[in-house]
Amino acid sequence: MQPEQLMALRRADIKTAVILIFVAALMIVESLNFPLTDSYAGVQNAWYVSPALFPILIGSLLLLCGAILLLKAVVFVKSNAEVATAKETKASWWRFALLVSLIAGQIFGWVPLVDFALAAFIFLFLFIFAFHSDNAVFQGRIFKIWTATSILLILISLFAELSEETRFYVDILVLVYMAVMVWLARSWAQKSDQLNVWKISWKTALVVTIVICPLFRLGMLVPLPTEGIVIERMVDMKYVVRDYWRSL
Amino acid sequence: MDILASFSVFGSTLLTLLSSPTNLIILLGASFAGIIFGALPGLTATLGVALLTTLTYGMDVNTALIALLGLYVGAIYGGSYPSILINIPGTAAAAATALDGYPLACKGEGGRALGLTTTASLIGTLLGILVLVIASPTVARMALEFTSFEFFLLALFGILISGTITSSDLVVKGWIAGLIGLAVSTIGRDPLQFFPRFTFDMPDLDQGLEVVPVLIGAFGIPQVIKALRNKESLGAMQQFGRILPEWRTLFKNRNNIARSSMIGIGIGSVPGIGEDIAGWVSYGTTKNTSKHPETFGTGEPEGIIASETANNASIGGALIPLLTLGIPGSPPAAMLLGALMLHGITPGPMVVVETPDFLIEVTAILVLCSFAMWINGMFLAKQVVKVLRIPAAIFLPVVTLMCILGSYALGLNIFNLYMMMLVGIVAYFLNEMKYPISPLVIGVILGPMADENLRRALMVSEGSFMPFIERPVSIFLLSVIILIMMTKLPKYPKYKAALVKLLGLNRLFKAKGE
Amino acid sequence: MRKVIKSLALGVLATSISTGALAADRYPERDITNVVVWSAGGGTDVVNRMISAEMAKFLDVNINVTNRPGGVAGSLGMSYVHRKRADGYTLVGLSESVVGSAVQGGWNQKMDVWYPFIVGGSPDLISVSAKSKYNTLEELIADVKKNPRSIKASAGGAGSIHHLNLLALMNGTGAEFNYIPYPGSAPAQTAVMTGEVELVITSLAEQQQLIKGGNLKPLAMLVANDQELEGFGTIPSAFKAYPSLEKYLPIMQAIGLAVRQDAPDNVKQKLTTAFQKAIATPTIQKWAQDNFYVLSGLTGAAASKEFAFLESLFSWTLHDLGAAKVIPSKLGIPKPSELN
Repeated sequence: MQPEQLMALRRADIKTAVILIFVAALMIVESLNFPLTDSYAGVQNAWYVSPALFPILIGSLLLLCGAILLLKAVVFVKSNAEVATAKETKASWWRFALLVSLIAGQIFGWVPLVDFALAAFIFLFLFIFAFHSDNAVFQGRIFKIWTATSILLILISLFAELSEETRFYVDILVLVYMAVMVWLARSWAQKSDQLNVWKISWKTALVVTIVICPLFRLGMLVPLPTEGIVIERMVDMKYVVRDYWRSL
Repeated sequence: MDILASFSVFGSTLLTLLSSPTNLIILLGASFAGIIFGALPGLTATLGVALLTTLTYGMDVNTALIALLGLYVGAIYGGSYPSILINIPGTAAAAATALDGYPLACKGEGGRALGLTTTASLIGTLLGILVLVIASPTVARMALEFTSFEFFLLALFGILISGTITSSDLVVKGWIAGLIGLAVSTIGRDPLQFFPRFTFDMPDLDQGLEVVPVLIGAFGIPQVIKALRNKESLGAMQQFGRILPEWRTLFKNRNNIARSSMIGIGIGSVPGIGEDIAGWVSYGTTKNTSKHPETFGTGEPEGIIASETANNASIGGALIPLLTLGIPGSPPAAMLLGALMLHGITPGPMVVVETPDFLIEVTAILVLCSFAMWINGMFLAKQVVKVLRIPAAIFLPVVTLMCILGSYALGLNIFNLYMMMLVGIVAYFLNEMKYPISPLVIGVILGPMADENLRRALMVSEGSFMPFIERPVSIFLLSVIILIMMTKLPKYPKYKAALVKLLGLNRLFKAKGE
Repeated sequence: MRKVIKSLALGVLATSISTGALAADRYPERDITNVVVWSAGGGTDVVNRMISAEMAKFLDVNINVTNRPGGVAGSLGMSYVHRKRADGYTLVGLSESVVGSAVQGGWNQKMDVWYPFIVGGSPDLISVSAKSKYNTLEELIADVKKNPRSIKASAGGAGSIHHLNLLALMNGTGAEFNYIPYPGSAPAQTAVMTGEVELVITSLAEQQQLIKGGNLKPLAMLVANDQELEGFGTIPSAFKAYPSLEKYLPIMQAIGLAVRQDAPDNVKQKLTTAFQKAIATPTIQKWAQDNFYVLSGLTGAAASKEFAFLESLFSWTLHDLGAAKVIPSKLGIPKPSELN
């Protein structure tokens, strides 16, 4: 490891150590509120039976280790004060932000609210398009659009109790959104001569969605997180095929 | 029953099963499905067996067992694929395989790693079966030596041994990671008094965190972020190496295999823990006893062999208390218990009396299953390596979606996804700051066991620590733990030399090449 | 080919619009999902898989059994099913232990939101290790009365049905045991065999193999009748030696499934018919006999009454033990003595 990187690591260690010590202290304080010696749920208590025993033990050890880490890091930073600190590039942090936004947005915004097939397709399409194109401009745009829509979806599920019918319209809106996004991406790709990336992105997203949804829902009988216009039609389809089969 | 009669039952069962084409198709199909189940992040052997249980309701017992055991064996093995190829363990059982499997794949020897895994898994399973047949009464009796005291020491042992899989940076970081895992494991109702700890009045936190979302969060999410952020490619794609059973490498590792499978069987047979931990403990032990521990973690075949032999050997181990006492030795074995009861078989001490051939039939089926796994594995490994040809920017988004679906599928709970994300971000930063992640996951798995059993042990002894040094198994475990701690002391070689001299054992150690 | 596509399209259209009252008449036309609130492989799971498979034959659709464990006493699975439409396509597989969920803060509904079907349960009994010096319940009780709390007892987890049976035994006999909790029946039974505790209270279904195999020695049934056990003999009822137990016991398991109370009446009717037919099948009858389950077959109002009793008993017991978060009366749960 380069000395600059080690310096950056030790500086980060100081921060984590402080956080650790703080969290460990909180853990111990919270544990002290647990029943320490009085009986609970018909189990006679003593110090060694208390639910607080283990958390206090772990909390104290964590506190100790945090203190050791803090000490080591501070000593290192003090004794090597002349060494500069390495920094991650800005572009790398942007990619990190986009990755977190994509995954977190999908989990907190899309999956709980939008039909799983739609959520899966748009997630895969944008994710693959952003990184396979390896184009910082696209990544920046996708970051803004995706973060905004995900936050909107989170707000909707937080503050609005959606009925079956409204969910249907949400799914329709998402379909429109999807079409717009795919079309937008195409025009971007065309300008920078990356049309093949656009093609492979939507194809992969579509194929994976078409394979995964029936596989889980019909093959393994796992109910999907949100079943809206696509998944419900898919399930209906199964019964139509069955009825048709039976009528033969 | 004498051995000859057993053999004839074994042989005739094998023949009957093999002579039916339906059975053969089910065998290969279930084994294949199991491998896929294990390979997809988040889908575990437990979920697979649960799903199959309903489907096998209408079948006769033997056919149902072929399907269930085939899937079980396949799933434990299949978890190693993503471990080796993309550094994301498909199941907790295969997490230790990633430590050396992924570096091997990065060197362009992914095919070799898969080949070794496949054959090591076969040998592990077969050795597990062997012990199941010849020693199950003995092992079952040993399992009954495990009271709360021993369970606590075993959990402590697991935590300590994983502490030896340490950080490349400061040693204290390994401890911190393990302690964070243990701290996280205290979330939820405490198992003794049912008192809610750190649940913040959220019903979703009441049962604590599930292992699968934590596992996916700890390994999957950071790997996706790291690879795409730093524009890394996955394992080397230029050459895959030929996939061979590599009998020679395995023969060289015979001591390793013997030790690892014993560890796997032992841990599998102790009720409550199973293959999740077996791989870790065996890996840690092999590293600790190796003459070149520094090569572990850089693509050491011995490491892969250790963890894969052990996790498959624990299948046989887990079936011992299940079939002889009716106590499942691991989570998938618990599911298997349910499936057997559906078919009117209540596993327990009476099985041997009421249906004397049952154990032999299970053995025959298991042997078939392990060979089906091997055949499927040798065939699949060649194909699976090819996924590395897919660019990371296309492959990893799909993996991410699978992680999301896999974390959701077992508990049908969106809250698990939130936890996965949270753990993922924290694990990513810990990883960046050179904290080892494995101790964290082991802490989460073993924390409740340590907590519950320590307190129950003290409750039973009314606060006395004496039973720890009065019970034979307890003394054994305690001395192993102290020995591990000693090897970590800086002046250990000096003490050891002094001790060896004192006991006059020089010659013994010299002969061994020390 | 065109004909096929046309009929498929028409079919999709038809199934899409067939919501509302019409759908209830055609119930069931799709597969039903049974969400078990305990984890796969346990007693409730096995019973639900059995009964679902048998009911499916009479309903002519599949019943898929999935598990959604977690929360407070199965609260996650119950609230999941309760959030689903009351159309009878999502059932909940449950057992008596879920009734304590509300007072422990798991959710805010009473058991009367369900329309239950009770398959049955296995009676509880008290056993000691085969190596134990005790041969009858009287010896054990006499011994512990001399030295209260000197004998360790296990009975599954705190607040489980077996724990309640242990408490009832202590109340009815005046004996005081030292209760050591275990996370389930299997570890509790193992603890007796390893000698960690002296006695265990779990169900006969869970113990029968160990009794027949000579690992456990049964002392008494905690129900009114004696029990014949092939390969062992007769297990006497504890009520004979301690008639005062009748006031507190029996507390029987109630494993079964339920649909939302506000489901359409003919959906409930169809489920009831299928359930009753399924219970009567030789498969279920034989399975119950082999595994020492006492079949109940209660449905609807009678089953609701049973659950109301269990809910009251569990809730107030938990309250008395100090393990309840919510006072049962706040939820409108009457005391067991107030029930008729």
